[in-house]
Amino acid sequence: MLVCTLLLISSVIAVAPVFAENNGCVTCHRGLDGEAQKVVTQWETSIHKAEGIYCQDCHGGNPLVDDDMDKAMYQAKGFIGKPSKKAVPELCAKCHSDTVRMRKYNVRTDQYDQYKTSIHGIQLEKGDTNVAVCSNCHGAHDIKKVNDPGSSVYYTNVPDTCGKCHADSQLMSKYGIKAEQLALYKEGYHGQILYGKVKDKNPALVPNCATCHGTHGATPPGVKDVAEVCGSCHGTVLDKFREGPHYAALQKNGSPKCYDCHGSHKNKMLAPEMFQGVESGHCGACHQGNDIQQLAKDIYAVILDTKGEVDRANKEVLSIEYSGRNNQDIEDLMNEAGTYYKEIGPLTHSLNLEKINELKTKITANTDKVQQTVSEFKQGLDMRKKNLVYYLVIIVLIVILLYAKLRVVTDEYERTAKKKS
Amino acid sequence: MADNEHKDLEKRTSFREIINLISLTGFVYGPLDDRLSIREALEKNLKKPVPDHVNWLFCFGGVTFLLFIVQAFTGVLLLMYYQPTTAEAYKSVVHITNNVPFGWLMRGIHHWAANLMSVFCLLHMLRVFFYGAYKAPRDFNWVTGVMLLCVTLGFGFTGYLLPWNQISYWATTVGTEVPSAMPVAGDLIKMLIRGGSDISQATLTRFFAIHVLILPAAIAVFLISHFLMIRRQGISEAL
Repeated sequence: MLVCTLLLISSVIAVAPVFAENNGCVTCHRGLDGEAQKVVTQWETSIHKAEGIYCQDCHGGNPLVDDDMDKAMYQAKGFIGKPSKKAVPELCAKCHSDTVRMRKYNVRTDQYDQYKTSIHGIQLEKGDTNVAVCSNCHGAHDIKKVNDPGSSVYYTNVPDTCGKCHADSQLMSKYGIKAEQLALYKEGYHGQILYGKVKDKNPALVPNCATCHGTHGATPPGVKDVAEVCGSCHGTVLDKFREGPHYAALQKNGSPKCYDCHGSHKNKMLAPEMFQGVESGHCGACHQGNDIQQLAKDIYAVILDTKGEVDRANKEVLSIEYSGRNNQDIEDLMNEAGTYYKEIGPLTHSLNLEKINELKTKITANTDKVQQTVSEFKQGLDMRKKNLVYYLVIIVLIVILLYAKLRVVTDEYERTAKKKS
Repeated sequence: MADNEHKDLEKRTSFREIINLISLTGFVYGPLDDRLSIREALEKNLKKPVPDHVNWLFCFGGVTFLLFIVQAFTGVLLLMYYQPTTAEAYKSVVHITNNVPFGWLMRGIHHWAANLMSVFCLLHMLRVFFYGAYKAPRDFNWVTGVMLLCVTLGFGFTGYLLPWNQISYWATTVGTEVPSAMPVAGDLIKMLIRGGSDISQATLTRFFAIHVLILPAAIAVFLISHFLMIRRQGISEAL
């Protein structure tokens, strides 16, 4: 009897959460099919569900009724059904701009204000419903936290989310915007890193669309701001760029911008070869047949020289890697040289040949020392091998003499033994 | 017939001279020898007959001693450059191997001869044990032999820390942790060996002192007694 009672109680406890929902909208929509049911299943995986935000909080209506549709969705009682696209931002802002309400979640509350300043917001105000509203990027029912990998605004998902509209050439042609950025971005260096295709680079550190264009206040960077936008991550490069003649020209004439050499969406890391040739992104594309080209040639020569020295020294170090020598000293020198070598890239943005030469001097001081140390060690090794032969000869000779001595002694011993007998 | 052959051989190649030279007796002709008859003493010692049953297994003790001589020689040379401080120990060892002429060789020999010395010490002990050579009247020599084994292993344990690299630091940490498993005095012994609660400059100083001064003195005492006894009592008879 007791067991039966316990079983009964436990079964009630186990089933209890199913009824705990106690929300008419959910109970009823679960029983439907198609889109009407999907909204429930989507909502169940959302951050709103986790934080106790229910259907009526956005759509209105009476959740206490679960047996009468008319009563539950009575418009005079504030049921709005599916909100119009134009009404969405304001609807979300009802909570998301409420500083008191959002305080405990420690999230921003200025998104709506920002949105209103963006192209999206301005166009929406004009009645253009092609633009993105909150739900286009964040989802409507399946809204997830931004740091949830399943979220459409998770940092690796952002490009495809923007691409839903911006890669749609038919839609974009109405606005005279190109629709190729997503494809180009995926080919570019940033995109390659974001999708984990570049070894030893952290995808979390590269920009997606939103990093440069903004999120809610989405606006393309102004022409003169490009350097600053790139510089917000590439600080050292920006500092060096500001020291050089290109920055002054940019302030005056609006070029050259970072992407004139590096490309914008399909950006690339430039090799020293960009100081040669006339193809786009190379010095010769803008400067032809003047002193500037000489400077480019000089810089190229210095970089190539330095690279050659570093490579040679590295090869030398590798050649004695397994010699048994403690190579800490030359590794330290090479690490220091490597650090200076890494500074050359940013420094080329200042186009200051003198400073690049200074770096080269520091680097070659180390690589020369390494090469000298290694060659001395190798000479020593050769000497050791030669000496080993001499010593082996001497050792063999001693062994032969000892054997002879042993025979002499043995003979003497046998003779005395014979005499005794 | 064999006798004549050898005599001819010796005449032809001054063999005797060469053999004298390498047996060191060639160096002590002259006034020194007149007064002290070193040559005679050496001849007597070097020509001491051994029993018939002696074979190459009886060499292990001698090999161990030879390795000890090598260790003493190379050790003194290393001592010229080694610096027993936590800041400088590793650097000075790298300096010895990379920059000091033949430093790599001396350190290499010291390293390998150290390992071999322990090995031959144990082989020597096994030989003595299985031949029953530890029995009276040589029982006390077995005691000095065991003391020599302890000192040899002590040399190994203390010398291992001196380069002050990762493996030596942690091996010593583990090794000094062993006595702390003993009840009552275990932790005290550990503290005494380490000179503190963990491996530090105090430990390095201690191990250095033990390695280059205390143990050499101890090994000298036991070696002398070991050799004197073997000379007095001779090699044990065949079983």
